[in-house]
Amino acid sequence: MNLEGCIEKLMECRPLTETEVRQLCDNARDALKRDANVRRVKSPVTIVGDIHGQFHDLLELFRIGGHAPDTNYLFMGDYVDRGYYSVECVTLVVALKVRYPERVTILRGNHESRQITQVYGFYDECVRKYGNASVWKLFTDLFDHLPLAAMVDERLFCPHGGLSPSLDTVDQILALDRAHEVPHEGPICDLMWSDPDDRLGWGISPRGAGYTFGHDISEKFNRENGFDFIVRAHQLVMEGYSWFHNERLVTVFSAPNYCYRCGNMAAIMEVDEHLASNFIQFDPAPRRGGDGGLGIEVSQQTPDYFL
Amino acid sequence: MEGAAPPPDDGGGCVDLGEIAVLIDQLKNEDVRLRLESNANLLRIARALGPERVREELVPFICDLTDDSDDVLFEMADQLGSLGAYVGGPAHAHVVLEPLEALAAVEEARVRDRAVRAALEVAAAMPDESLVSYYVPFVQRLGNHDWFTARISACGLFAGPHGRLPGRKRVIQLRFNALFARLCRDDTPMVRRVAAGQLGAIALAGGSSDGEPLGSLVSLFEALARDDQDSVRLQTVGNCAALFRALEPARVRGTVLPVLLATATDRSWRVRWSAAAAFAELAAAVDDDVGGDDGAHCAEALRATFVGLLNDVEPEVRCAAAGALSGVARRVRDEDAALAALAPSIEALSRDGSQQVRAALASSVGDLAPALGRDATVARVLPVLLALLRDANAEVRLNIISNLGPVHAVVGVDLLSQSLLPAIVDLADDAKWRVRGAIIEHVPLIADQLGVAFFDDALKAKCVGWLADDVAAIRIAATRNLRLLAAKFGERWARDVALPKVADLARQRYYLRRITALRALDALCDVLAPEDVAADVLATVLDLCDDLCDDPVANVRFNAAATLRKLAPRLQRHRAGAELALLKTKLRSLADDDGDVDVVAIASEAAAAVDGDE
Repeated sequence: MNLEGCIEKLMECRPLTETEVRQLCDNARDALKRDANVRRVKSPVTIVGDIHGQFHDLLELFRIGGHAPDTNYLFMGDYVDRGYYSVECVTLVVALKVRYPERVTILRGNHESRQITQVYGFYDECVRKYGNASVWKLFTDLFDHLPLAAMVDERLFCPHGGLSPSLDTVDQILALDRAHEVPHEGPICDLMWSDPDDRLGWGISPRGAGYTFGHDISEKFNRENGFDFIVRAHQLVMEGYSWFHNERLVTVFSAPNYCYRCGNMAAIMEVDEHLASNFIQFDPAPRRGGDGGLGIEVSQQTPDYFL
Repeated sequence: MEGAAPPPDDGGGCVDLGEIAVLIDQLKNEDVRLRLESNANLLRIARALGPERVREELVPFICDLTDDSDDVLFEMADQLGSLGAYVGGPAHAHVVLEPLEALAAVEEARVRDRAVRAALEVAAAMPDESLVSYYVPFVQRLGNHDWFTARISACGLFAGPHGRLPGRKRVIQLRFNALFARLCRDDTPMVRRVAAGQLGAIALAGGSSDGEPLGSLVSLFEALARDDQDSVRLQTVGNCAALFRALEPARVRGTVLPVLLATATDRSWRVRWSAAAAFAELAAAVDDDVGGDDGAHCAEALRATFVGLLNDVEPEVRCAAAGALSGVARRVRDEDAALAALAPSIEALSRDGSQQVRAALASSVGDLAPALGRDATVARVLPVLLALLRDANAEVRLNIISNLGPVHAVVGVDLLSQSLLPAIVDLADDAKWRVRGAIIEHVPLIADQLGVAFFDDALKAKCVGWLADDVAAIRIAATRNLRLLAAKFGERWARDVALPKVADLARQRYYLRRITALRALDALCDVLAPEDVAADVLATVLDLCDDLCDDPVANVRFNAAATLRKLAPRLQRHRAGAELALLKTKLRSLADDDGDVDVVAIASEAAAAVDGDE
């Protein structure tokens, strides 16, 4: 298939045809199967948090971070749901992975799941844009093959959500069988759903899935596995990035003005070849027209899954 | 008459009657999707049936269909507009009005609007005589309907056909006019609103032939402008431009102008906003369509009103008025009067509490310069520009920078460089990357206009500094900029100032900077008179690329390979055989021995291309 043409088309915010998506997902499955559960990523790399269908802001991200293949990227999941362009976002990210498998890494987020996407917009968007659910099916089947986490130079640990009480070492994660829907509980679920907390130890997560974990947990995990710190996404932070746990963990969130209303900045994290990191914050991409900055082709009703 | 206007061929080829029967059957299917599909194929059905059966069977059949899906109804209305061509010539076109009548009365506005458009399409094809016998009664039935939805549709059916009613049918015309007048006084505000929205178009269409109908339109216009619903009054401004054109100047001055001026002090800010937003067009319409003393009087009155809008209590209104400044400025005839009227308001707006207002002002205030002339611009506009250039809001700053052109032209180089350049140098480090980007975009323009001499060291250093910006888009713009600047400042600057800086960049510890260095090298080579790049420059460039080919980061290596590929033709032109051989060895070793797939792919491609050049 003509990947360059597809990427060009997607950069103009035009979705691919169903046939193209099918071919793309076939190729992507092969590429992703070669990635381990915890993919080893070499520095330098630019780490990206949640995107959530905000396609124009994803383009802004590339304007700021640079385009692949010049810039290496590690996307930490949550490409779909909530924004109006989940289809374009996830297709573009997957197409980049297929075109530059060595330069781009994509992880699984808690929204890369059949259940969540039926509630938070990706399913509806697929049906609206393609007239049926087959594109949704193709992508959600592909999501089962996404790696669970990455490690940069084996010094930074990057899951979408956080740690799990069932997992003490990276070797345990490498031994998991990941090719399923995100389960309701257990280690895979925790990697996608957990959050850091001020309280020590493990706590019950208010999200109803995963756990909260204190700085003692982060420190122990980092120490035992030789990591400097954890980089994760999953939570809205107003400045786009935020350090927790005495700088043992940092949250990166890459959807500016989340849900087109939160007023937050977004950030990406550039890790250089000496493992020094630099955060670049950015605002939503400016948009033309008097539609309140939502871009074109937006339904008049606010979907009920908005905050 | 039959076949007088052959139905257009919609590409269906020969017709399969069985298929047509299925389509007709599906018009009543329970499945909405099938009904939609059949409706979309209505014209195919019509072509298969032939004109007579369309008139006698299909149209009555459609009239009997009751559908509850708005999508199906919309599709039906859409097709009915074209069905007029399939009924056996213009004389029969009116049969299509019957199903449209029902569609024009439904609740869904989208369906009604389409039905109205379809009815106008059908009317356009009808001979004038059948307008009297079929179209006018059709509009009358809708206009006298119990449901306001039908009356709303009726409002949209006057403008086109109105002018085509035969002059001798005076009674019909009067009756038609009376119906419109009644709709303008309808009890339902929504009907009055739509009627008001149509008034201008009717004035233009029904126009000049007879003074009387226009006279009654003007009194309707005045009454609607006094309506107690602001949604109705909101249509006033739109009608004014049409009436400017349709009426003679004295009438405009006497009747339309007072109504227009009143909108600017309306109790509803939305109405005042509509006046502010349309102000530039209104000023243009007065200039173009209202001549003589009356025109001058109107222009004068409008200007006074405009100042009121610039100082409105609502930020939205001030915002729209500030945006209209450019258009108004283009129509200024008397510089002194304009200055006296506008300058105080503009100074006030530059300190406005709303950043949207300041942003709107920032993008239009520059356009005042040509209208006001040099002295007034220096005295009154320049201080405003400077204040906005240092505004706390990035969009305001951005708008000023992006609209400096007209001010340059009027104020001239010296003054601008003295007053604006320090502010521009400050903005070169603005925290918002789009502001930095806008400055970069303007650097070649500034260089053109201010000359190389004005380009002080501070700004030159910025131009090189942008190459190491955090934001990729700025780095790319900076390399583009470097190409233009090297051309302007000459080979010496490129070699002695820019090249060492780029060499520094090539040794920076972050790979994205080193990749930018490669791009910048390419840009510099381009302008160092490609045919006679000094050998030492070329050697430096080659050395740098050579180093970067051995970079620890793969991304730098494949960019170096791509840059070498672009250097090769230059070396060939210089008959620099030894260097070229070195370059080829380098590319080949990358292609053969590198451990990264992308480096191997790009280097192999480059090596093959260089071989192909020879």
